Amino acid sequence: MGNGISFQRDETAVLFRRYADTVYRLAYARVKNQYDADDILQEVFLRFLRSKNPPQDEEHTKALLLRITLNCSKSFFTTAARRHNVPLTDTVAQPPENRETLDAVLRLPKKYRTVLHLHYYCGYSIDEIAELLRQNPSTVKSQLHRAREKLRVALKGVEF
Amino acid sequence: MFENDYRKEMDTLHADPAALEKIVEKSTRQRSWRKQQFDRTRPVLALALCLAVICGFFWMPKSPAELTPKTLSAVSTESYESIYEKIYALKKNINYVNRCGNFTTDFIAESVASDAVAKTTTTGSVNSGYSETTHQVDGVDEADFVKTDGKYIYILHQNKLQIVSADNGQLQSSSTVSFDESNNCYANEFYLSSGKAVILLNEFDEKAETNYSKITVLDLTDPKNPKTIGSCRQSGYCSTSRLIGNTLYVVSWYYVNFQTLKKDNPSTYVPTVASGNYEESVRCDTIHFCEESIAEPSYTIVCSYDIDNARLLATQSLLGGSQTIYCNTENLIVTSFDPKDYNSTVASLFSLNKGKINYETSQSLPGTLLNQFSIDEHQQHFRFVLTERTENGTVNRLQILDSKLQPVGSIGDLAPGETVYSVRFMDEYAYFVTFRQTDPLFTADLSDPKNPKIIGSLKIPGFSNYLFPYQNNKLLGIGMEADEQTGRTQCMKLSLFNISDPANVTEEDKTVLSDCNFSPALYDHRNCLVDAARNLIGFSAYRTNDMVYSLYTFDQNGFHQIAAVTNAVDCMFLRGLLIGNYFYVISDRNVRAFDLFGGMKQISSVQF
Repeated sequence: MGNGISFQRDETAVLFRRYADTVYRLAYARVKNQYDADDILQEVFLRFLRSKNPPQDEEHTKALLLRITLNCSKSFFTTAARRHNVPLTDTVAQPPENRETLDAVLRLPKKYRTVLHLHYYCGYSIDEIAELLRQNPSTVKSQLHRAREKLRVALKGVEF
Repeated sequence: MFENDYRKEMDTLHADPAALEKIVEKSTRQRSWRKQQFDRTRPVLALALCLAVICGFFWMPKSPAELTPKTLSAVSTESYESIYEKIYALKKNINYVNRCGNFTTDFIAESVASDAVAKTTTTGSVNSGYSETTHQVDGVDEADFVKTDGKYIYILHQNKLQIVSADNGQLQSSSTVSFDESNNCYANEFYLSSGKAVILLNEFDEKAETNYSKITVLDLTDPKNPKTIGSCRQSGYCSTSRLIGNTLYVVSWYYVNFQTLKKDNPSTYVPTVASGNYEESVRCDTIHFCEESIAEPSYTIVCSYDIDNARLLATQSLLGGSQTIYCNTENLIVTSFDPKDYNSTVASLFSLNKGKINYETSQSLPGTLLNQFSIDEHQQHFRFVLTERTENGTVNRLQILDSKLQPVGSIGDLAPGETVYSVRFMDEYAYFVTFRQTDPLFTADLSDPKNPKIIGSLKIPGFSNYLFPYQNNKLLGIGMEADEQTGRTQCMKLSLFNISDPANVTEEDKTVLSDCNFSPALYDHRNCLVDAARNLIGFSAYRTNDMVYSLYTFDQNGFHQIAAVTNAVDCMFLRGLLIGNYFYVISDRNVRAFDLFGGMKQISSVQF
């Protein structure tokens, strides 16, 4: 038993450190502030630990973590406490410097932010995003299209 | 290009390293084992929690005027049936999911108690030859997973007790005791006392679907061949324990399993205790609960054991959960959330006398406690530092109660908007740290319990998580440095405060550990090695890529780091120890010995 546990633990610690920023940045893109993103990060890893059949290869591990992040940030938005409180945006604690693009993305509705992040940051294709979001590929495609259009207006003709 | 810009800006965001290390730490200790056990009870707990949140919403808006201590009257039950009805009502009643209430059971083997404890008041005294577990009250030992008796180092890790001979730095493995008999037993912590080791285990009984806290006593007269003297157990998870002389007090938390609840079988809803070869449900005639705070179908069980004979002495229970526990040689305070108001704390007082436990009274206090250091007793008065969460943010309060937990004096409305980060009571003075962006270290004069006064406050950036008395008139703070403008934590720091004039506390020196971003010493006082006599301060800390065990000393020029022991990347440091002239670092893989006066040279090491 001893060896099994320590092996599993080392693996977990390494895995957490490797994917912390990936998870954190998706959570950030969803909830728009560092404190909630940190909370979600913890929740994601806890849920990951509880998963019954953790995937063995990296690509699936990453996908599972992102999937849990999406779920966590979704339930985060729907909790009663959230609906009764005013969300804290990062502008309070950290004045945005040189992050024009990111701020423009964060001003978009949540569904557009999510597909933009998954596509341009995580590098997933439309089909992969559709699978991750459990949505129709054409829905994702049109969301991505509209997101780009909105960004072109906001960022005055940025190129994709 | 949008993609490049977005990536560049996104890459500047990083997860809070402290939060990350916390979760790594959390996941590494015992999780895999607990998962298995909780599976059945989790739906019940989840339901309970949901209801608690719903109820919480109805009760939340409280006007500040109501926030005063109120005494709760406890009654005892007459039969198991009445307990069953109470518990069953909790199951049916939608409003049940609050916490607390009181519940007492009497002695099982009262006669054994008196002589067993009387002769052993000396073991708790401080021995300068070797380190003891960092504890709150002198004479009251706290359990840990690494301890030493000066000759051997005992490490309880992964269900095994490793006994390593220290012998002036020449480490040698003596023997290993494994508790891995079945997968349902897990050793948490242990004590050493006069040639014996007392192991605290959590046990899961699959048939009854309940948890037990098990106490196993080992005879260490021959460290190469430890023998089991005996075992006892009580219902519920072990939440904390204390050793006074050779009497062990164990507090456990037992949740009634509704799936197996049967009216004609009291053992399905009344906690049981086992000692020697008998096991029985606790007696009902001494069961107490507070009608106004009865809430959750769970018990807090306090048992005392004579560890020389591995025998149960007395048992008492509270109906409800338990959070923070304070214990000195005469009294035990168990606190839990007030069911009617999650922003209040119910403190229940038990008197301890040579193994006997007596439930005294309960009191509801506004606010919540930080940890065991938030409570203290001095000259028949109990002192609490609490944080109240009101509609307008947080305020802090210092509350003084008499020996019957009746309010005597208080200071309210302290540091609005800030939260208590650490507390230390020292006789007539209380020192506590509140934090939002900078760290005021408050000094309160409690010499007149009816009229406590704040006599000083020192504002510095950052905060201390623990305060330790250090040498003469000094206070050592271990905590975090924070940005003065935003209040965001940056890295660890050590501060030394001069308290020779309590009204005018000054920070004599501080050292900022810019590469250490988190440490277990920030939430577990047992991780801090504070040896004021030898002027040594030790703790383990996380750095970006590894973990380090640092040893500091202090002189007129300030703090000096005299050792920084590092290990392989994913190895976790557990504790540091001093025995004689040698310093030992224990990690989850090995023990290493260093010569304190020989330039901290590594002398030997043992792997396990």
